[in-house]
Amino acid sequence: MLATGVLAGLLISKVLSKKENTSLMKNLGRTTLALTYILVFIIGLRTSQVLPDVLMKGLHVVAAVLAFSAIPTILSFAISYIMLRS
Amino acid sequence: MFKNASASRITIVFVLGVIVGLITKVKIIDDFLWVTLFSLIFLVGVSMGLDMSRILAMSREKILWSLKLVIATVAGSLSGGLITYLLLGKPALRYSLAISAGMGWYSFTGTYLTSMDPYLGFLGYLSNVLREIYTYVTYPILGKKLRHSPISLGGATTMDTTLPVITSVSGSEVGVLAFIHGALLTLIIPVIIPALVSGLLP
Repeated sequence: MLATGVLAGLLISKVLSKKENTSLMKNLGRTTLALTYILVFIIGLRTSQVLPDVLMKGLHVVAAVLAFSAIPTILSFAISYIMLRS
Repeated sequence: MFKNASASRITIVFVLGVIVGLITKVKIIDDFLWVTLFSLIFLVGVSMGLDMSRILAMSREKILWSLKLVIATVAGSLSGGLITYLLLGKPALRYSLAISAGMGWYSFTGTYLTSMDPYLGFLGYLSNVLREIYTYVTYPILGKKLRHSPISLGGATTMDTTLPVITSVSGSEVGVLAFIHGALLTLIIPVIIPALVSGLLP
């Protein structure tokens, strides 16, 4: 789906003028933003189904969210620091 | 990530979804979820295709630097998922790796995982939103001292939401690298996560 999109974008960019391209980019930005909001809303709806379970787990959920966000972020930075230094 | 979706707005929409879900007990059918997700992926592809000529026009050296950053970001994220799994013991290894492989793209990771288990979707969504917030907070400090490596903090968000922070702190040259880095990750993530979840990767 992503590859099809990229190909479509490449073809469109060849056909359209620079001004039309910029305008299309703006509209695409708005549409992707709207879709992002819809998806986040759905994730919220789905989360409500497991909310009692999430609250029951309490500290474990907090630990999991913090670990899944912080550890990959720190390691990505650390590895790129080492790689780019050498 | 996506296109100027500020963290506060996204949080409000998420909380609104939880509240509406608790009150109405509405259930979203999977087909709608998938159609919306695929539409998002397709549109992301189109906008990348439109931008492709700009990326291809950049020097080979810049693309090589960005590739190095991409490798570091992917390696760091996956090893982070592995370490978290070893520390917490759950969820299962493939799901732990998939959550961390989101690399900041919360709308994709959250939605993809929520179709399997809402709890995994919740973890995938919140962990990746936090990654974006960490970048907003830490990049201004690290970006001033180190030139390129802090780009990896932002993961896929460096092509849109965190790009203004990166450019304002480190300048437009680093901003270009950040954009390519984010764009390449955006191409990779929809391949890595399904591969990890389906067990195609070890």
